Amino acid sequence: MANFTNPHSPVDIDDPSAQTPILAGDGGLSVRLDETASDIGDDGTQSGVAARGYWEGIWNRVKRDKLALVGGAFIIVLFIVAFAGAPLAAKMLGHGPNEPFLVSGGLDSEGLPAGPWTTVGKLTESGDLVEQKFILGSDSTLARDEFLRILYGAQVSLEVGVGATFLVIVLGVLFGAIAGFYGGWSDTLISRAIEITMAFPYLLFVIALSGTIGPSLNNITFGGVLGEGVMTLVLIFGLLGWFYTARVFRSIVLSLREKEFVEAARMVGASNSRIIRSHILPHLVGPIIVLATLSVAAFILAEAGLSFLGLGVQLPTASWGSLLAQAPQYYTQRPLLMVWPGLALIMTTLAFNLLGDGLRDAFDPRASR
Amino acid sequence: MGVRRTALLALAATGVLSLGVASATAAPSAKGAKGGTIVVEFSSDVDYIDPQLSYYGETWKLEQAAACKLMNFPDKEGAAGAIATPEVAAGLPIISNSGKTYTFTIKPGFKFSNGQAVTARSFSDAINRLANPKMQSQGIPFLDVVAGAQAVIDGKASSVSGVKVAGNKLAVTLTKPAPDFLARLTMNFFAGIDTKLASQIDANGINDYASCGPYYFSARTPNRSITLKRNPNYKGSRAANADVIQVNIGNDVDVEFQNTQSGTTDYPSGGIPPTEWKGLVEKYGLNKKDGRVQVRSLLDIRYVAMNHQRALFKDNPKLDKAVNWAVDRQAFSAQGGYLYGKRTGQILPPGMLGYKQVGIYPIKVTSGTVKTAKKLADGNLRGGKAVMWSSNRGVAPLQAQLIQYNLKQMGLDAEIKLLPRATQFTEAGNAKTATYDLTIERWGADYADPYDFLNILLDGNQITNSQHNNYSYFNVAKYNKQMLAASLLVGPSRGTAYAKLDKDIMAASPPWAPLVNSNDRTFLSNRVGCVVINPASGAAGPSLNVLCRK
Repeated sequence: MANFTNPHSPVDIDDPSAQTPILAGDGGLSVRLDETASDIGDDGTQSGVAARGYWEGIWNRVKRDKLALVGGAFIIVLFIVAFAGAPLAAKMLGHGPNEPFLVSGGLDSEGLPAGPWTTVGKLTESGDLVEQKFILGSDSTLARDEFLRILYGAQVSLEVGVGATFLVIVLGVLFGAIAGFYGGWSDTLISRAIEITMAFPYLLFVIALSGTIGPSLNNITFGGVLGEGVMTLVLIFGLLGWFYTARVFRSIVLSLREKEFVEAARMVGASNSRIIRSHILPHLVGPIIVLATLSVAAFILAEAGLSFLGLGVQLPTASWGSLLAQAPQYYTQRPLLMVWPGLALIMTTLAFNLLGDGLRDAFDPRASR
Repeated sequence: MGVRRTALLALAATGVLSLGVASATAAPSAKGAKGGTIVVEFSSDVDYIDPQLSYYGETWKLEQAAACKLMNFPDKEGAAGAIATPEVAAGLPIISNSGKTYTFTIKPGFKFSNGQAVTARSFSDAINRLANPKMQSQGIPFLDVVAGAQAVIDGKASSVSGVKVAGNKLAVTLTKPAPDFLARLTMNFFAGIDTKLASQIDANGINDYASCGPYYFSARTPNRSITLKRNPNYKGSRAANADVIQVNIGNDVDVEFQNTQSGTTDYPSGGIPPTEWKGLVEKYGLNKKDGRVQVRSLLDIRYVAMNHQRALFKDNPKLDKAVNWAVDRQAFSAQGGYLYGKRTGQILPPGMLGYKQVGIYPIKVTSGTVKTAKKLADGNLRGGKAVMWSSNRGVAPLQAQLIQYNLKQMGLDAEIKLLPRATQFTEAGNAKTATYDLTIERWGADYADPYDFLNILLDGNQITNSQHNNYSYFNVAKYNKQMLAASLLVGPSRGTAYAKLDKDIMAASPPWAPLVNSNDRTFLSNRVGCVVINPASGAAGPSLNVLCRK
């Protein structure tokens, strides 16, 4: 029975001695009845019953969830498009996301942003006009490439989403594990800190911090790798968002602490840090993955919201939120300017949520019954 | 009488009589149906509604409806509205003492909304309150010619010795003749105040006070709303058509536009999406009598001020010039939409006494202008980083990004900081909080005289530790002296002197990059009429006390 809950000793399916006739859907193990499973040998012994590994079981369950797969695939494509596709597109199109094309073509005869598939002219240093394409038209009366700004906006969203999630998970696991495992005064301190942080009006605090300490952090770009303002949002979201994950991990660790394998590890003389590292943390991988995917979606939305309010990434860095903020000015003449960034935001958060839901179902032992 | 003729000449000398800025179009109907509520929208909150403190165009629209003054601009269009005429004063003042003493007689019958009578003391109290250093008012520079004001400003006296009240007469003595003094009195800083407000000295401003104009401020919720109601005790000749003027604060321009289209808002003072103007003019026509779309030229300028107290632009005239070569005035104007304004590269606006077109800087960017900007900037960038302030409303963020792009082309990397408008100019006017290298600003004439542009905005002596309007912190002794000398001149020589200053300053060490002289564009709902627009009053948009429900 211990094998069910100990993921780092999965049954080796190639080792006949490790095979056990355990029903599918119980814990992390299941029996795959392959062609040889029902073979009864001449001596009457059963042979060829293969058991699945923990991760294999999870993957099988994820595979059955088509929506999660679609979400996952979308996310992979999004990363590729954002970090490889955007610079490639900029190179192929011949201009960047922040270049205004006011000289020729970027605005129509009414002074409105040019529509999709417009040819624009770029003024070179020698005074020549070079023709280039705007696939989705101009973003505003500043006549910048909407298509490129959507792509580069994806970079910002993913950087903030993943960065903040990483920070939140690290802090949440750290504090949650300490509070749950050690208990006592450390649990008291950390639990009170969680409650105090939760009592703050989160959004107002984020807005206030963005406006005050934000400007001094905006220039942290790690040599231009991150957009200006990304680090500010990562730190603010991370430092204010860890309490929820800490609570979740604290409760998981509290239950794990009482398990027999922990007791067994203590009995053989393992230190607390070793127990946490080698026996507790592996059990948190599943919840970490689930929480992470759901958190990324939430932080992407939060970043868009702050950028919409003018408190997110610095101008002129493209962000889906800032694109949405300026689009309503043209809602009667260029309604698509609201659609593109809105659609990108919806699809991205949906993809992360679908993947997160699918992973949660896959990791939850009860879900497969 | 000779001395009153002198007063007329004084008005003429400031160019007030020659003001052609509020070009008359169809004659509006000033009398209309009384009653109802006029709904106005502001995109962002005002600075104050306290008359001795507020110095924001939006607030002045409201205060123009609530204040009563010794001299005021009538609620009329065109030339008729451009002449400062006696309001509470029984007539033009008697000017004596070699042009340094102005004696006004107060007309009986004016009352505050709380029933208190308006007397000579109401105006002497206003001047004393304005001068009180605890008020930290931006109107203090306009007291520079009043005898005894400086002693109060410096904290050495408790009242302005040059202001005397004797019965229904008010005498103001100046330290030197000031041809624009009567025009200064039309500013809301000099509006009459009751005894209660006179005793309330608070730099944060008073929101609850009695007014003596057609309306009074009945309520204010910061960042939410302001309500004006008709002054029941007003017996003056100005119109007070609506019962209530309701100001709602905080909507974006696209929401204000929708509300005006649907009729829930009558006047979107915060503006409308700039791309809508052309369609509106085509649909409703332009400047028709009581028409929905009205455009007037303004004595106004939008500019980028370079902060000369910070290291980047301090004693760096080549970089100042580089900015003037780099900025794309055409694109900046294009962001504002149809009939936004006229591009400019100089300080004084067209129509102002002393304006003379000089083409020092280009009003259209080409590859050649960018090269010139780079050449001027080369070696003078001092690290190449800057902080640029801008308003966070309407097209301002887009315009800021445009300027940022222009500056980047010449090698200067500017970080944009967006601020609510009132916060932007309040902090810019304080040396301690002016932590920008550039700020995108706008200035509308308080009255039609070049003193209100050059001296107020560029005289280094105006820079104080509290509120002032010299956002470029420009302080060159030679020009300070010339500005002072020009302010004492009368007639054409005044215009000539200011024209020379404009050209010399911009050519040698431009404190700004002037961008556009804006138009006053007004879009109204179909529920209102009695449209009178008089930019001479210092408040753009329709006169709210005249606006009426159809």
